[in-house]
Amino acid sequence: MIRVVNLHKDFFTSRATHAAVRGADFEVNEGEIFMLLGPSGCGKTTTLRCIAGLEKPDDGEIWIDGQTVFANRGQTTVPVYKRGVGMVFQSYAIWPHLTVFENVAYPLSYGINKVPRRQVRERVQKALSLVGLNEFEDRPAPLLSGGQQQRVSLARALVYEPKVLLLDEPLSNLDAKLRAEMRVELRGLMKRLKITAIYVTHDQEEALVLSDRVAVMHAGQIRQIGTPRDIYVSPKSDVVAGFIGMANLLQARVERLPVDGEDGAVTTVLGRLKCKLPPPLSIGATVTVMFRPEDVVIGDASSHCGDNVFPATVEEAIFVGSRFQCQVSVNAHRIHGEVSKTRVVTAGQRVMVEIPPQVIHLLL
Amino acid sequence: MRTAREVRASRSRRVRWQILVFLLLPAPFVTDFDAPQLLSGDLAAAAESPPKGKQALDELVAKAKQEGELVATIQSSWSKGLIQPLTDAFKKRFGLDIKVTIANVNSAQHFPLAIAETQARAPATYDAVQGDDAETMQIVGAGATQKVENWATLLAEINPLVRSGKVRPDAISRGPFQDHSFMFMANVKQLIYNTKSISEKDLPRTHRDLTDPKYKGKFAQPPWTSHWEIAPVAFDKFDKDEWLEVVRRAGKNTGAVIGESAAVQRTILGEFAFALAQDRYTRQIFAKDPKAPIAARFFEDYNELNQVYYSVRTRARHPAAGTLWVLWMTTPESQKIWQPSDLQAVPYGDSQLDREFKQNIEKSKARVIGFLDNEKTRELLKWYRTDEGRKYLDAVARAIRGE
Amino acid sequence: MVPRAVSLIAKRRERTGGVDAIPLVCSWLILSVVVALLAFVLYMTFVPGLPTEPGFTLRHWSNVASSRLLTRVIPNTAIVGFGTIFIGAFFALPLAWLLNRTTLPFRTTFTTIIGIVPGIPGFILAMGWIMLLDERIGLINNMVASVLGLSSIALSVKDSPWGIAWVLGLILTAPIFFLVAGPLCRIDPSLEEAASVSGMRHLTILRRVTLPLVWPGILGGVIYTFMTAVSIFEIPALLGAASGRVPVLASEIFYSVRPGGPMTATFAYGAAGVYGTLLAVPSLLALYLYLRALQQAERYQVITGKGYRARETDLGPFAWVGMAFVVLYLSLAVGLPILVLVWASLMPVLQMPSREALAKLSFENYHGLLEGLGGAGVIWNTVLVVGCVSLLVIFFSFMISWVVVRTRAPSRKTIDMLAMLPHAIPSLAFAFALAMIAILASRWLPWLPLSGTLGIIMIAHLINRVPYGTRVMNSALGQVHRELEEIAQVCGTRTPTVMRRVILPLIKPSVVYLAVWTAMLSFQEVTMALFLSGPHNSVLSVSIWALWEAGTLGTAAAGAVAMVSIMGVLTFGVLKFAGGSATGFVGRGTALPPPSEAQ
Repeated sequence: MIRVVNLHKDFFTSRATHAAVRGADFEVNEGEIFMLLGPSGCGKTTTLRCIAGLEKPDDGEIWIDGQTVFANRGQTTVPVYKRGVGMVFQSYAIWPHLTVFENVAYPLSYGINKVPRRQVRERVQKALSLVGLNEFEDRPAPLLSGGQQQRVSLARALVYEPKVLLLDEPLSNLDAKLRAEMRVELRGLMKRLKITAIYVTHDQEEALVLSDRVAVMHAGQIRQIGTPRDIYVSPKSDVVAGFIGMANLLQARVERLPVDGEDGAVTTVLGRLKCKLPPPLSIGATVTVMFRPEDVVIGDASSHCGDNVFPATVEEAIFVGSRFQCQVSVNAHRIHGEVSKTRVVTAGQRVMVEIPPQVIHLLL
Repeated sequence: MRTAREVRASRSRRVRWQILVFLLLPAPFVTDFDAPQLLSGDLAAAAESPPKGKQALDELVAKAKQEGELVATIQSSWSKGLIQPLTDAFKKRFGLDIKVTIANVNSAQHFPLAIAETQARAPATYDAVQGDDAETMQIVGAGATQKVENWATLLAEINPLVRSGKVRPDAISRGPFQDHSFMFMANVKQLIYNTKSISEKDLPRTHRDLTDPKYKGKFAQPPWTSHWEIAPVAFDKFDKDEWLEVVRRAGKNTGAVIGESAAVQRTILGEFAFALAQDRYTRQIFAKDPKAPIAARFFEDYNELNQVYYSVRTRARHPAAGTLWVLWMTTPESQKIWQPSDLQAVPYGDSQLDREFKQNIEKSKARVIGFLDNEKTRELLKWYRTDEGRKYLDAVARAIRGE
Repeated sequence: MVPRAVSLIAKRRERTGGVDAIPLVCSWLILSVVVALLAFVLYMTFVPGLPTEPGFTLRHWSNVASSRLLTRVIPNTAIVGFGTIFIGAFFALPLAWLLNRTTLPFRTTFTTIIGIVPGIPGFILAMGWIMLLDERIGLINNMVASVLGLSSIALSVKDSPWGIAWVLGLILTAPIFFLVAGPLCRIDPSLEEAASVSGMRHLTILRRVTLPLVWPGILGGVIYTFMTAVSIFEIPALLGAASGRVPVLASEIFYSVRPGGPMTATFAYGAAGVYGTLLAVPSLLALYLYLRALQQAERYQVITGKGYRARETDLGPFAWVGMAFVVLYLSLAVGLPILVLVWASLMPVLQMPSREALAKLSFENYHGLLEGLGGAGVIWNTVLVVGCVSLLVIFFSFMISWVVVRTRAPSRKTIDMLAMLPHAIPSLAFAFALAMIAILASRWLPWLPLSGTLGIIMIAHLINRVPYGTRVMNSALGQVHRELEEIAQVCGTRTPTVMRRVILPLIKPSVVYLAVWTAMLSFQEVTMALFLSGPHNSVLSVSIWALWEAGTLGTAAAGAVAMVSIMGVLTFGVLKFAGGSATGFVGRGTALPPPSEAQ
């Protein structure tokens, strides 16, 4: 449905040129919710705006629904108002001088999506019911709460039934609880409408919950594209790994290659770790290994047998409601771990840490 | 990618282009225009006999009807309430049903533009314009007025005073203005003083007295040169530079340089003891407030008679209508409309005001000099049209402001 | 290399084509007229005679460079300029604070009255002040003298640059007020609140926090008003320039245009052009400083969101001091002159107030006032001019500001500067450049009605008001969040629809304010309208001036009273109808514009 090839965009300031997007490539299938995830300044919003037509890329090609909307460095280009996409901004961009109804009715009343008068009311009400705001029809826009404004923004984007929906951190301005609720609602809505969406966010939890596929961006480039699970479980680089969830990253040297069903081993600051190593590696090669805190098994000093077991001291244990997040030091090196809320862990406690070989993941 | 400097350069290039284009724009319009000289000599024109006159008038009226419109000026000081009565009377007199637009115009301000129009060979804004001796001399000299053919005949037809022989045509249009400009009104310059602020015996006797330090800041005079410009013919021995110095010292003594009527107002207010003004203001003020504390007096050395003329403009859009207007404004019929409110005199008229005007001058034995009085004055008038003369007037105007 | 060239071309196309073309074209249209007029003024200084004659000479320049210029004209102009802003700021700064950041009662009414001050014709106020403060006849002088037992007080508003500065300062307080009030209202409140929380007292906060934050805005307002002050001519003329006592640059222009009146019937166009250029030089310098001040000004501003309001200081028991100050200013600037005006309109022949004068009071001057002013035609002309000028100024200012603030057109900084240029050039110079061009046009383009029409007055006023209009619009447009516009485009509407349905409603208060302000100033503008007058384009201000000059002071005063009353009523009415008062405008869109977006 959407195809982006080799997208480049630079910004000029009085001091220097900043390359915001450097060669982004991705494809979004119909009906898919595609996430652009990354820290601030990574170029995800710029990419989204390029697709919407609000920024003119310096190079690359963009297709929406089989039609070229940008190519040949701008010689072929479809202007913003003709692209037929819906958009939701982080700031909602609700027009304060109009009521809720008028805000949502705007695309149907003027411009390229104009429909006859009698249809407007019906479709606006349909859109408002999608987001659950029917009773607020006549309320002036500034008198709405943040969450309500966000819904109006969504209704407005959907009312003219665009094929593509672009969302730029729409939930960032909401409080945590509302955010969590809206996430689920949003996904449900988009799936019901079978709408193709590109969603930009820096919140990795959002990315994991909402999306069908995620593209992690960093410094203007896409580092990895995959399903949330793939990204989470098999990150291809430390940047990706560090951004999604918490990760323990260690430098390691290959010590032994896997042979005959036996796992390979690497040397790290913690000590020797047995783990699965993918084929093309040689002894002595330097790699990065990653394992997630929740995969680290922290047990009593007495128990545990198994591979990759080390004695450790608990340095910190922070209760976050559903569990304890711990930092334990192994060989004077801190790693992150987790412990269920039923167990009590305190700082200074001596424990045994096990890192099962199957959870150790190699990053190249 | 362009550097900032390249961007700036191209931008300024574009801007420079635009400026260049507009600098060149006036070029095609600036060509060499010559100002035709129309200073005719003194001719005596006698009134022609009636039968031809009526025919000429009818032809003129027919032409005016065809033109369909008239745009004329009246004195800026005349009340706007005069416009409708004048228009109606004019149209009725000649049976014209045309569009008439009359505007109050300050000739000092308009005439230079009129000259510019003529030089640019552009059509005239107004068909008929009025101005005093000096102003009219400027536009006649610059070729901005057109000759009225057969004017004496037409005048005899239109103006009963001329037809009856009471007034000779050359009383209305003569000297450098013959054939072009027609006098319809006059005033005489006078000193008007506040009887509460200064007594009659303390007043200055001659214009030269105005340089006396005891009058410093006590009087006002107008920015125009009519109180000083006729001096060259008033004295037997006259030195231009010396006179300029007199004007300058008087100018430095002046309390304010403002228009005559404003000067009179502020004299009544008490701000000034006296003002250099003209006769009609006393009449106007007494008409509104008979008890106003003012009085008028003539100067002993000279008092300029300031006459006002109507002329038809060169390249007027409606010359025939303009001619009718210009000639009609000399008639008693038109005078009856404007004289009651403006209270200026018509030298050849016979209304009560006109007679009082003449008697007043005679009784006071004041020395009143007009630009068309004699050869000497007419030469001065013509001289004022030359470059040298204009420079001198400019210097006088600046000297009035003390420069 | 080649791909680079291709991308350059692509970039240029992207920037100048498409939906931004209309605002760009409109902007360049109006600015080309400005540049053309300026070029014409400059051209006139090198031509020996009328601009219709050929030739080249430097005589005008050498003539003007005399010692009188250096020893009198320039020093006087400097005193008038700086004196005016000193007095104006003296009143305007406290007023801006009192009426916008405190709990003073009747704030809205006071602000609206201040807004009306510039609408009163300047010569009326000058005349009023002559009657109030003059060594011989001044009412104030006489009262103070009798109280102190002296024969007279030697203080005159006439014949001294300080007197001119006093009167001008009173009149120009209003523009400074409005230009400063905006930034004052939009200071980030958290900056002041932080000071308050840390224990600073009110006055200290004012001195240490508020003032430093607002000074760029103040500086900008003061510089702008300086430029206005040195180019006004009527008031210095009345108060001493006419007599040659206090020549200033503005009056020198006028007198080179009408040197002695009747006889010297050729204007010294060249000299007028030279003086105009001379006046432009300090103005352009001021303009440059002003634009620099702008860049600083917005650093501490917040973009007003919904429900934002700056803190207001409760004056408590000192409220009466504040009220007294405001009332004092209003009396001096509005009250006393209007009283003088009313007095003059009720006297058949103007005299100083005395017992016997009181006996002569009458309404005689009001009878037949309409006719005396020129009838319904003049009223209609005035309405037409004022209405069209308002609309045109809003339209062109909007277009120019759109280009400057909302697009990335490469020429936008140039456009912004050009839009400010007319303010640096005295309006008289513009007026007669226009008059000359009109004469030439009537010959070469006879189908284009310019000379002596209402149209040419409208053009003159339009060019005169565009600088202020763009200031207001820059500020207003700068406050509309870009995303509000972008989302409208994404929803499928093009720029013209977005302008009409989204942007204009959001900046409506600024638009209304600009319309009212422009209408007022156009209504009372005399110099240009007088110069460009012809048989068919008399407007009210010119009628009144003509009456006054011709000496029918009573009728002129009556006309002026009528004019000021109508204006006052209309202003109040429009402000009420459009929702809100002048204070509402002050918060939005009257301030200096924000820095351009690229930074």
